[in-house]
Order: sequence, then C-alpha cells, then structure tokens
Amino acid sequence: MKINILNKISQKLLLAMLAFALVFMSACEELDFPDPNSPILDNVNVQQLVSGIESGMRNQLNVYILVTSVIGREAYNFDPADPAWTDEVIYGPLDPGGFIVNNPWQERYRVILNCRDLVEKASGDAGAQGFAKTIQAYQLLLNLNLLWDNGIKLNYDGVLDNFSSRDAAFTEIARLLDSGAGDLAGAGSFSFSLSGGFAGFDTPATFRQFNRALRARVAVYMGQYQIALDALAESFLNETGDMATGVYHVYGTGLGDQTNPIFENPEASFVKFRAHPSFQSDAEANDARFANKVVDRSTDGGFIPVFGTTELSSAYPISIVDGPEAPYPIIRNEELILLRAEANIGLGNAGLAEGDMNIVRSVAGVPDYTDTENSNALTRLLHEKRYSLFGEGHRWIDMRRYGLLDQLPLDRVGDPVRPDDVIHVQFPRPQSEVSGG
Amino acid sequence: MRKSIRFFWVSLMLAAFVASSALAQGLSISGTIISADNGDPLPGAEVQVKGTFTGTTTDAKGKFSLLIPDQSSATLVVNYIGYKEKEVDVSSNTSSLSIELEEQIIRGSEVVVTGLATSVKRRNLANSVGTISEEELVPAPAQTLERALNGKIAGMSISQNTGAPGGGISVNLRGVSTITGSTQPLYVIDGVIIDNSAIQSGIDAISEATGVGSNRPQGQPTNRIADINPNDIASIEVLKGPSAAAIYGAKASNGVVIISTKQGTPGETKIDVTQQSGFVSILNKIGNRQYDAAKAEALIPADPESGEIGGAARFNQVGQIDYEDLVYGQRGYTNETSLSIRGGNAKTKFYIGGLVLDEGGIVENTGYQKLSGKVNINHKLNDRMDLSVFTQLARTESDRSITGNENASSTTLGFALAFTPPFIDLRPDANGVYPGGPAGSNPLETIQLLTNNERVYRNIGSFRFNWNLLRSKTQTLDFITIGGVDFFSLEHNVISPPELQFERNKAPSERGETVVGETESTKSNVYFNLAHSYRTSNSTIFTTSAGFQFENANVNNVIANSLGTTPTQTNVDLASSVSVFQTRTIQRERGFFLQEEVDFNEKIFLTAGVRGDASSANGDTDKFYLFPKFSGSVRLSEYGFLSSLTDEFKLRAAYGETGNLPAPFFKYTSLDQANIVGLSGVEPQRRKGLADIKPERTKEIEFGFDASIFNGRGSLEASYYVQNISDLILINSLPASSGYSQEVIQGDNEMRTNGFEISLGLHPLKGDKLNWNTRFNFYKTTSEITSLSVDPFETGGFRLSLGQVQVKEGQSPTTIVGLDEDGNVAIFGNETPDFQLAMNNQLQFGNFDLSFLWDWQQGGEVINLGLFLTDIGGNSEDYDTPEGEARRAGTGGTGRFVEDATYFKLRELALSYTFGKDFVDGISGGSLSYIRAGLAGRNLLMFTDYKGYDPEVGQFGNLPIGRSMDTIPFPSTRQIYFNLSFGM
Repeated sequence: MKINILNKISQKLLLAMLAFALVFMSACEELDFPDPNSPILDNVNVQQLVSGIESGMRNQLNVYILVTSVIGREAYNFDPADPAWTDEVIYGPLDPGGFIVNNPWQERYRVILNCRDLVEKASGDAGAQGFAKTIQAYQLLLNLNLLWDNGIKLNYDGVLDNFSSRDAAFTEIARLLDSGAGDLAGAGSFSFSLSGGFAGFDTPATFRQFNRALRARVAVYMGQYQIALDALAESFLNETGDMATGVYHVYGTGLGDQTNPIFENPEASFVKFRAHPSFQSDAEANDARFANKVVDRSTDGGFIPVFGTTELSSAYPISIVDGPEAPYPIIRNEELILLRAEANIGLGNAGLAEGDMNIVRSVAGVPDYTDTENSNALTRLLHEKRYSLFGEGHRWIDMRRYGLLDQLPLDRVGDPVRPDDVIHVQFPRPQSEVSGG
Repeated sequence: MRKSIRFFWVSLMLAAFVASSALAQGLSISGTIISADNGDPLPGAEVQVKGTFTGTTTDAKGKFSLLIPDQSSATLVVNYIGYKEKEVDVSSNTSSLSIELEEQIIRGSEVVVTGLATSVKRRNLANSVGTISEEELVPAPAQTLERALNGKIAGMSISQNTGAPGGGISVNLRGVSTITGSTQPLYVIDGVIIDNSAIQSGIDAISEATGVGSNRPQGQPTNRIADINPNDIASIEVLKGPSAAAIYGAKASNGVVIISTKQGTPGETKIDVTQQSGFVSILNKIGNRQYDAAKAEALIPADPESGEIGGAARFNQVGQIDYEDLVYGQRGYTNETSLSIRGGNAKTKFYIGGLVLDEGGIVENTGYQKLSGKVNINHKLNDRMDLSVFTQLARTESDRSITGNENASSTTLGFALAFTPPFIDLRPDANGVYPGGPAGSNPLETIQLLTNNERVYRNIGSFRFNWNLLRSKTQTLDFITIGGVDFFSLEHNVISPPELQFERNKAPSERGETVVGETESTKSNVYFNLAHSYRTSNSTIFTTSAGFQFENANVNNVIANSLGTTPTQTNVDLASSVSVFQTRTIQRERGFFLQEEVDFNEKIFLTAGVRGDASSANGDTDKFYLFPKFSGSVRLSEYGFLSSLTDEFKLRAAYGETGNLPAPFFKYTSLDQANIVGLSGVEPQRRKGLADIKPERTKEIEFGFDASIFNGRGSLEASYYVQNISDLILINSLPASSGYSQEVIQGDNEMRTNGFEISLGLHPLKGDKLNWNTRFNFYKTTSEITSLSVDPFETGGFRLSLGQVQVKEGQSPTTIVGLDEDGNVAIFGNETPDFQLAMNNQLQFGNFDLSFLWDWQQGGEVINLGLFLTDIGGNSEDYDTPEGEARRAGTGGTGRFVEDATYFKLRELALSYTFGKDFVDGISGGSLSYIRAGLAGRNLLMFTDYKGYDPEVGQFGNLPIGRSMDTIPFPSTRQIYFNLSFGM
C-alpha cells in the first residue's frame, strides 16, 4: 500500500494553483471605493462650488420667467406640448404637484444647499462667505416672489410644513444680504473666479455693489424706503451709465453648460413666447423699449397669431434674448434707477422720482414726464418698470405689492364652457413640502 | 474580515493534502448498457457499486469496465438520464454483462446542479427545479435564448418588451420581489456568472422619450444574455426561488438560471449540420380607421386661403393608404446555419459549435445577426484530475429602427402612423423625394434614412478544474476550482441625418443628430470549493461542501451625442456641437458558503447551508450578509405509501433566503457636474443616497410533492411557495427645501409574494410507431405590500390620468390606478396575470416528429396608450364604433386605455421527417448518418382581444412594477422556417 496522491503532475499543479491563488488574493481589489462617476463634497474645491452655484441658478429659471410673465400678463407661452401654460397658469388652479410649482422651487433650494455647503467648506474665506450668502438670499427671494403670503422654508431639514411667514422670510433675506455685505467688506480678494456674467462685479468690493443692489430691491419690497436709498448709494447705480450694466446669467454650448432656454427664433413659423397684446396697445409711440423687445409680426401673413382653440392671440414674439448664448439679467442699472424712484415715491418725494424716471425715459426715446405728483407717481413708475424690465419677471410682483392685480387684463371671461381667466395672487405650497400632500 | 477569509482558504488548501487511497485486487467486471426499447448502446451511463463511491461511466459504445477491490460480489446501480435506475448483482462468476434500461418519463435519476460544488439526483430534490433539455429548448430557431424558454417551466414568466430585433425580454421567476431593484435572474453558464446587463442605445436622444414627463430610459434595450447561442446549450436548470437559490446569496432573489453547454462525446467524431431558412412577418396588425371622403374632409377641411385642397379631395386622389403594411409589411428573410462537432477519446473530449444567423426584419433595414463559435474541451489529466475549458466568441448585431414612445415630433414609426391620416400620401415622388407628413415625420423616410444599430463582440471563457483528492469506498474529497471571464465590447450607432423631416424642422445648429455609444464590460469570477462525501455502513451519505467566490464587474460606457451633423457624415465630430457622457459601473463581491447534505439511503434527503456575501454595493462593504437555507425531502414511496397509485412519491419542503443587491450608486450622495461658460462647477445631485444601504432580503418557504403516476407514464409536480421580502429599497420624495427632491430609503417596507406551480407530464401513447409526450405547466402568483413606511405612492407610466401603478399597503404592487371620470383615483386592473398555462407536446409517428407548444396567459392588464395616441390622431381602428366613440368621449376615465392581456399563443411548432437509413446510405454512400427535413415556426398564432400589437409589451424595459405600458412598440413577429439537417 502506498500513500501517494501527489504524483509529479499533481505536485506541479498544486504549486501552480497555490501560486495562482496567492496572486489572486493579493490582486483582490478593495470593496470600498468612492463613487466612480461623481465627486463628493470632500474632494471638490471652492471654485467648483462657486461655479456650480452660478450654473445652478439657471436651472428651471425659464419656468420662473415664463410663469411670472404669463401671470403678470406681460406674455403668453403657447406651448403645444404643455397646455398648462394656457390653462393652469391663466385660469388655474395651479397644481401644487405640477412642474410649474415644483421645479423652480426645487432648483432654488438646490442652489441654496450648494451655498450652505460652500459656507461650511470655506469657513475662513470671507469672500466666499459673502458670495454664498448673497446668492442664497437671492434664491430665497425668487421663491418668496412666487409663494408670497404662503411663505417659504427657512430651515432646510426636510421637515414637512413648517413654513415661515412672508415677513420672516424678508427679514432673513435682508439679514443674509447684510451679513454677506459685511463679509465682502472685510475680504481682500476673491479666492475664485466668477463667470463673465459678473464682469465688473468680480472683486469683493464690486460684488458688494451687486449685493447692495439686491438689498435695495428687497428693501423696496419690504417698504423700507430709506434703507433702499442707502443701499442704492452703495450699489452700482449710475445715472449716466449704460442701462444694461449689471449682473447676468451667462450661457454657453460647452461641456456641461446650458444654453438660454428663453431663446427662440422670433422669425420662425411658430414661436411660443409672445408678448401680451396689451404690451403693444399700452406702449407709447416711439418707445424703444417696445420696439427692441418684441418683433411685430401683425402684418406677416405666414404667422398665425391665434394659438389652437385657446382664442388667445398675439403677433408679437418676444426678442429680449437674441441667441442661445445670450445672457439674461439678474439685476441691472435700469432697475436701480427705477428702484430709487420707487423709494422716493414711497418717501413722498415725487419730484426726485420724476427725475429718475426721466433718465430712463430719455434713453428709451420718449418725452420727459412733467407734473409728477404723489397722486400719479406710482402709476407712472409702474408703467416705466413694465416697459424697462419687460420679460425680466417683475410686472406681476410689482402689481401685487401695490394691490393692483385687478388692473391686469383678463382675456377670456364669460365663456359658457371655459372657466373665466383669473390673475393668480401667488403659488400654492408645493405638494412635497406639506403633510398629506 | 479579509484576513479571516485568507485563513479559511489556507486551511482548506491544507485539508487537500490530508488524503489517502488504497488499492488492492478484487472483482473485475465489464459490460454494456443498452436501451431496452431499441437495443441502442447508452454512452455516458453511470455505473456504481451500491453502497460505495466506486463507479465509472460507459464509453461511446455503451461499454464499461470496473475494478471492485476486496470484494467477491457486489450490486451495481446503473443510471442513465431518461431511464429507470436498475440494480444488477455481480460476482466473480459474472463474465460479461449486458444491462438493459427501460425508459422512464419521470426524470428521477438525472443529476441537478443545485449547489456550487455539488449536485443532487432529481428524485432527492427538496425544491422544484425546472429543467429544459437540449431537445426541448429550440425546436424552432430562437433569435435569443429567452424566447426559447417561454412556457417550458412552471413559475417562469417570459414577456418581451418589444418585437424589435434583439428584443428586450423580461424573464421573471415567481412574481414580484422588488420595487426598485433588479428583476432579472442570475445566469450561470458552465459554473460562471455572466453579464446580463441591458445597455441603452441612445435612441432616446432622438425620440426625446426621456425628456418631459419621464425620467426613466425607454430604449427597451437587449439583455445581454441574448448573445448566447441557444444551440450550444445542453440543458437549463432553473432555481426558481430563494429556497433553491440561497446558495447564490445576495444576487439570487430573482432566481438562478443554470446553463450547461454541450460537451464532447468519446468515440467517432460526429458532425451535425442544420440549415434553416424562412421568413419573418408581422404577427398582428392593429389596423386603421376606415376613412371616406366625408370623414377625411371633416379631419382636414379645404382652405382656399392656405391652399389646402381638403381631405375629401385628397381621399379621392389616393384613397386609403395602408401605411401599416408599407412600414411593417416586409417579409424578412432568415437563414440559420448551425454546426456541431463532437468527439474525443477516453482522455479528451471536445465540442465545437458554430452558428450563423441572419434574420431579416418586418421593417426594411432592420434585422438581427448572430455569429457564434464555441469550443468546449474536457481533458482528464489523470485518474483524479479533470480540466474543462469553455469558450464562446460571438458577434451580434441588430438594426431596430425607432419605435415606441417619443416626445419630439412623431419621430417613432408608431407615432408617425398614429398621427398620419391614411389619405395623405407620404410615398416618395419620381425623384425619390419624400414629402413631409402632418405628423412631423414621414415614417417611410425614417425607415430608409435613420440608423439604430447595435454591435457586440463577446468572449465568454471559463474553466473548471476538478481534483479528486480522495476516493475510497466510504469517502470522496474533491477540490473544484471554477473561473471565468465574460468580456464584451458593444457599439451603438444612432444616426438621424439632417435630411429627415423631423430634423429639417429643427434649428440649423441642431439639424441632424448622431449618438455613438461605446461600452466595455468585463465580469470575472473565481470559485474555490471543496466537497467531501462520507458514506456510513448503513448507506447514509454526508456531503459537506464549502468554498469562496470572488466576483468583479466593470462596465465603462461612453456616449458621444452630436447635434447639427454635416449632411452625409456620420462621425460624431462632424457636427456643430457634441456632448459626451461617461458612466462607469464597478461592482465587486466576495462570498463564501458552507453546505451539508445528508442522504439517508436515498429515502430522506436533508440539506442545510449558509452563504455569506459582501459587496461593494452595500453601505458596509466589510459586512458579510448571511443567507441560510434548510430543506428536506422524503420519498414516501420507499415506505410503501400510495404504492397502488404511484411508484414514486416524494414530499418536499424547503426554506431559504436570498438578497437583491442595491443599485451600485444608491449608497452615494454625490455632486453633479454643472459648468458655466468654461468654468467647471458642481452641484448636489437631486437624489440623496443611503450610506448604510444593504441588500433587500427575500425569505421563501416552498413545499410540494413529486409523484410518478399511471405506472410511470405520468408525472406530477406541485409546489406552493410564499416569499416575504423585507428591507425593500424605495425612492422617497423629500421636501425639496432640503436641497434634495428624492432620497433612497430602506425602512420598514415589506412585501409578500406567493403562488403555486403544477407541472403534469404524460406519456399517453407509447410504441414503436406512435409516441406522444405532453407536459402541462401551470403557474399562478400574487403579491401584496404588507408594510409601507411612506405614504402610498404612484409610480411608472407617464402620469396618473394615463395610468400608473400604486404602491400601497395591503394591495398588490402591480395594481394599475388612474383617474375615473370624475377625476378621482381609482383602480383599473393589475399587471400580474391570473394564471399562465402552457402545453408542450412531442409526437413521433413513424419517421415523423411533431412538437408544438401552446402558451396561455389568463388575465393581467396592460395600459394601452397606443389607443390614446391613435384616438388623438383619428386613426384608431374602432374610431367610429360605439366603443371608440365612448372612449374618445372619456367614458371610463383612465380605464378606457386599460386592456385585458389574456392571450393564447402557438409559440412553437416543429414538424420533421427523418429519412430511412437505406435512403440515407443510398444517396450518401454511407457517409451520412441521418438526414432530417422539416418545417418549424415560432409565434405562429396569437388569439387575444388586446387591441395593440401584442399584450406582451414593456415600454420601460424590465421594470419590477409598472412595466405593462404600451406606447406602440415594434410589432411582434411570426417566424416560419424550412429546415434540413444531417449528421456525419
């Protein structure tokens, strides 16, 4: 009897297999590895967060612009793919679960999360702090503009309900802006680059002018007219400067970038975004602000003004964005001049307001106002804001602040089948934010 | 944990040395095993000395010889698949034996691979394990493997997502077991897990199907199991539920399909060649509303201002054009040539398989091609060592045009047809110029100009090394290493040239679009196993097995999408802009198992085992999640139970747990790239990950019985199972003010699935001239959400008014909901069928063989949004009927689109004639062993009330719930072949 299971072949094989097994074991790769497709917060830098914030501010901004323009009866959005723009937005009710209510809301808070992450990541960097707080305040303001008396969320913990009132929200927005301005005042230089949209506002000192401009807008919204004038004094308001000077969202066709979704070829056979007919009928003769912002196709036989069966009609495609890479304003000089006028009206200084309104009017090629009194100043100011800031998301918000929504035109009333048109006062709270939603 | 694994491994290797064997003189027996029916020798039959592990197998001529040490007499036990086991006493007086085996319908003695290192005879199995043999698998050519599985296993439900070449086919075992996880079974070929991923072609970029309204891909991609050549398969075993599949652990909740490919046979080299030629045609047309001049005019009134001549004038010019026939009416010609060469000697066996399949499509410029070569080699290094090497090289290609949902301008064929009035002439003019259609696209032009091509090169290679370390009368110890690499490289080319109508309508900078996708996937796995058997003096066998497994998968997908392409050019850089996307999927797993089987004299069979799995997809990657199993079976017939009714009766019960791994990206909370004019930026992803995610867990109890009835001429298998699925992973919506709109959650979410399966086999006619075998497979399953930590939610589909499924406690997760006429949420059906019943038949009469398979699905509902589309387009076939009018008026709310999915299909039919031996010898001079000719068909008949192309449909691919969504897919096809095969 012989104990030998290991003949020569076996021995060689066993050795080979042992060697193989050992090599295999040592080549064994770790099971714990980071996301192979995306970075996490730990391994990105301040620059990437700043640029991501800038980029994210553009997400769903088109929905914000379109919906404020349509509710404010500055425009229609004739979208064959989505009837919401000609029913829900015009005669309601607004769907708390729909994309119009949810998408802009969600994207503003996504930018805010990015800002909060930046505040945490760049704790010792005053410039980054100032940047993050300013943008965070601006994003909150956009959501507050939509929800208004329904309030917004000021805590970001994902708890349902728990909305803060409009007043509390304004207080927080103002606080963030002031705190940001303080950070910016103490910052020497930015540790990051900003996009071309901030050209001229890309140092802590000049970015602070942008911060103050926003603060002025918020102060006017809050009725803090003296604070508004003080903020404007520190902003980039320039009576003799270009009306377009300001801060913009910029667009590009590069990798991971976005093109301007508002852009449509106004000469195309079908255009979705068109001015409300009243924008034409209320325009003063020779107002460059009308002529430059829409294309008149009322005599173009190939262009159908009526949209489907809606009975809504407009022959004025909006041309404020002249290409897929054209910028879109956040705040600019023309608004600041009018904000100063508005603050002065609030303080009873109709004469000072007239001076500022005439700066804007003379650029637009329309005659100066005279005899501006406290009784007619506000009507005149709202007209100037309507034409100066057309398509920039202000009309609805301005009219609402003065309780004048009932002066906006209703197109379809008294049809036996279709509900009457209404002017929405504000957005409902998004379904995902409320219990039982 | 890794250290302890290494330690275990080293101890296993050491155990390999502790082995010995003894040899001495004894009994020398030789003989032949033949079939009692026709006297043919049975090669590969198993001969074993009763009560020991001593044994051998017969050679090509059915001969064996066996040396039995230290004994003067013994009992031989002879087994051969498909035949009754036989015992023969031998002694030193026995000189030469001829043992006759009788055929048996109940598959009792065949060996079923159930463990990772061990196998069990079917009659001892404690689970219902489905088996498909070589003969049953492909009586008619199957484009892809899954199509050949329909109706063949009770508990397995196969449903195609689209009829497009290459498919996109959902394989489901035992019902719903997840909400968000993977739904497809694990495929194991020759011991190695292979990649069955479904990779999107990028056609969604053209159809814009995943823009507005839906965030899930809709390209209905091919599952990569499609690259396998069904003709290479020797048998398929299906472990249907966790109680059987527990040994595969964290990836086995959807069951395991174990495929064994063909092996060589010792003896003279045999060559088999089969040529099948035929054609493919549309199975079922949905039809169109019949227009007349008045209806046409009502749709398109004449308008002198715009120059529109009006529908009536148009109708009078061209009448009703049958666009469905122009688009889907082609007969695609199909050729399949398959070759098999088998041979070898006592030491080395080989199998070579070759396939050339070229299947045309019912749409011009579509089709499917597969080239496959396979070589399997088995070599005995010596008495104790076997090495097997398996390789397959394949190239598959499909051209599938553009079908299904879309959000652009009727880019897909189905949408174009739905929105093109049939009296508008879209046919090319004399110069070959296609007029633009009112739908926004001209389908006839799209067919000619658009490319949607997928090309795969695949190499699957594996080896199995068996080392018998010890073999004595009472013990065996085997060391088994299995390893393999599955590699494929896949290229997608989607070309939508600028000349197409829907491209012409775009802005110049976006006119013409090309998507090129390149995917490389490597999946490797290695197993090291030890199996030990010990037989006590009273014939109780203890089998212990243990092993480790290492698995790595790496998929790298790069897609370039260009817009504004240069006319006539297809390179992605010849365009005005390009965007590039890359996705890597890395998955690494480590596992071990330990299993003990006890066989009490082939009467009672008990198994206990545990599998441990660690995976990179889990939050805690060091943790080994344990999946236990226990099972037992008792062959009551051995104790005389019901002996007057049945000669074989087994009761069985099994319990097991398995997992379903989370998607590999669910655990991460990462940042997205968000650039702005040249500056690289990041922003938070919308979905928050779950850092401590773990596998979903399914616990299953199965019990049933197997019986042989009618004197061995019938078999009955019945099983009941109940699965409790816990740790379900859900995507929950989160208040967006947190910065995230969704989060991955895994709270107290549970589901229960149960069902039963009955498989009845009969052999009603048996004789030399006439032989009839039939098998019925019945299957019914239901599921219920038993616990839900979040509010009920709707998912799948497009929106509530168009039908979704609702996940709600106490309700089936496949419940279809929508809005009733008053706008309230209401239930409209259930995706899960009431039952499925298949009948598979094999008949032989003289030289003729006939087989056919009927497949019946009763109930289940499909949301047929095809009706929604054709109603809008004015083209529904029943548009003017009361039913159509009611539907257009909105009667029934969402329910008007929810249709019964009951069908009755003749899946397969094959008739062949085997020429007589004299004839064959006469024409071939003895060089051919047989000639067979016949007819075969697949999907020949379908009976259904369903109004779409086929109630088997899934716009969103292989979803666990919300799959049954019809947005006019590529129509299903019928295949008919003439075949000729011969052997040398």
